[in-house]
Amino acid sequence: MNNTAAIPAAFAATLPQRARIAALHEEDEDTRTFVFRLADSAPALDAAHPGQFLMLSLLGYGEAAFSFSHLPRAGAEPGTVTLTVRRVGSLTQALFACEIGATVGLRGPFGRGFPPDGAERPTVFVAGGCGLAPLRSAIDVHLRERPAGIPVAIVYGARTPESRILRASLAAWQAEPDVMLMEVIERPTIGWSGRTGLVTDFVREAVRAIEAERAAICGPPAMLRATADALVAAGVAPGAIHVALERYMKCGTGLCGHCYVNARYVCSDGPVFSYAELGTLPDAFIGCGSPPC
Amino acid sequence: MGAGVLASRAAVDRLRRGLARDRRVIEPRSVDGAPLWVETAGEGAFAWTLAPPLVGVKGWFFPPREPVLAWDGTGAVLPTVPSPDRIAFVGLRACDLAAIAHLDAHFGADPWYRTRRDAALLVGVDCLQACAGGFCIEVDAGPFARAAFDLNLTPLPDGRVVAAWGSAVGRAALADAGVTTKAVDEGTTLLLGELATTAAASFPVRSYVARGLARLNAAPAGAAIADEEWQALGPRCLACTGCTSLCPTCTCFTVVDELDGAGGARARVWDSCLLEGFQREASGHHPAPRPGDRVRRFWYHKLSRDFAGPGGRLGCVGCGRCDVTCPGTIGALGVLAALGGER
Repeated sequence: MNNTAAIPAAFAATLPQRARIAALHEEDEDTRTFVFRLADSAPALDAAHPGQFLMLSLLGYGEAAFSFSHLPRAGAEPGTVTLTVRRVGSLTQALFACEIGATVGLRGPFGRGFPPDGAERPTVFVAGGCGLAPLRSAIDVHLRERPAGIPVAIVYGARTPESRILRASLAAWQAEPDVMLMEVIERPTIGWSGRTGLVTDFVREAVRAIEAERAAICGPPAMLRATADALVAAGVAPGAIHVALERYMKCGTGLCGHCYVNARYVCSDGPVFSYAELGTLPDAFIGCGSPPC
Repeated sequence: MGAGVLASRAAVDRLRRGLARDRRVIEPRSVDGAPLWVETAGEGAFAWTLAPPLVGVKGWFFPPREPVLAWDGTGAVLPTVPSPDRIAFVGLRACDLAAIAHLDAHFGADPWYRTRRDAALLVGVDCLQACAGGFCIEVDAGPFARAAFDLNLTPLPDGRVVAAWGSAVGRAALADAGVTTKAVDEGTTLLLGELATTAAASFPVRSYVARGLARLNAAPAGAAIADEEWQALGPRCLACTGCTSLCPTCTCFTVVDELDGAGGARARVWDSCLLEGFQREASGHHPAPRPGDRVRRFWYHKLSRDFAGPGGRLGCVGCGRCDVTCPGTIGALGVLAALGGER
């Protein structure tokens, strides 16, 4: 335990909360789900909303932002934090070298997640790659809160069949009534007989099938705008399309300046924005590859 | 808020020495011909007409390196709590005071900033004429102080000084130093108005500033300025970070972990949005991949009303430091000249 008794409360409140790795699950060779158990009670983390994020700290490596892939309000055990992490940088490299029992620091939750209302409206969720991780808790909370018979569509794109993550969740959603799960593989391998292509190829079908009135999107930058445009073309209002943006962040609290998009901070104003809001933020999709921008 | 008249500039010297009784007094002085902020203990003559120092006071409140936590070999992690000396800055110009108001709004309750800021008393001195390269008047930040001061001084031509207080601490500093004030009479008020008019008239006419600001702020955002214009300016930015270091309202930082044996420290370190890696993500995605994208983003942050701070003022306070330091001549006036059609 840290002896913080003599530390002014405003400073003590900034410390990462200590947690240990309680469980690990390999999603694919570069993606792993970590379940952390907090050393002390953390009501704020227990109350986090889908789409919010936290800063994960490894001493000597710094901090990085991660969205929750499971939450107590979606059925996770209180006092735990679940993150699905892709190994792409120095901090995640170091995290992947940690074993069960290793200590990390967690600060959060931060930001504005997916809107908590709307469970009574047919909703389509579109995820690309490890973008499924932040959407997983949004989907689970939505399924818990929707009135019986309100349909849901989930369009999940992965590069190959093998790179699909959170397969237990995919199987569980498949088994739910009134849930249409559309898995889309960009580079099919032998044995794959399902849909192939990009998620954008199947957005219209999903929207029509459930008469979707709202949508949530998370995925790589190149996918976000193309998907949102496909949703608009299929009849979903831009104000009802909620897009999770990703930006480099160093503080999580609107101070460090790394994540601003025009005059908005992704960390504190987002990371979830409606597509109508993003229409007023011309920098949101710069550098996103295709479509041309 | 209130104001009174000091009988002479000698009263300001009494104030300075009074402040020095329980504070470090930091004032502009000419050091080898260059204006610098120097610890003076309130001694010596106050440099009433010295040009503002190129390096401002931002680093006292937002240091280039601020440790935020430390750990040792036992695994204990503790926040690093600064214990700044009580200080008084005497001689802050209106631009720097407006900048501090920006910093106050940006950092809010951040405990590191707040601890350092609360230890400081701010005494402003109005500018009676434009400084070289300053354009505070174009961005409503000067030349007379608008914001953030505990005390603000306006030297009058007859030797008297008008002192305005913006806080109880400032008012008490006068009393504690034994400085008495007289009420500001109608004649003095008229004189202040004349001084303000004369000061305003001393600025060069730079019509391109208003034109540049109007284009940059035309709705919808970015509509009036073609991407090609920014991309043409991009190669002139050498990413030297001179502007962002000197800018009194730049607040971006990165966070670094520094190892020391079995322990270490985590520190905030000044960063610059003009550096290529500022927003580059681990995945390789880059939201500002071209130099022109970064130059545009920086100047929107400084000159767009979308980023207006306290009093509706822009993030640029018109101090002109970026124009002094920029090797590519795209400081604020350089950029506004380009945007305003004056090359």
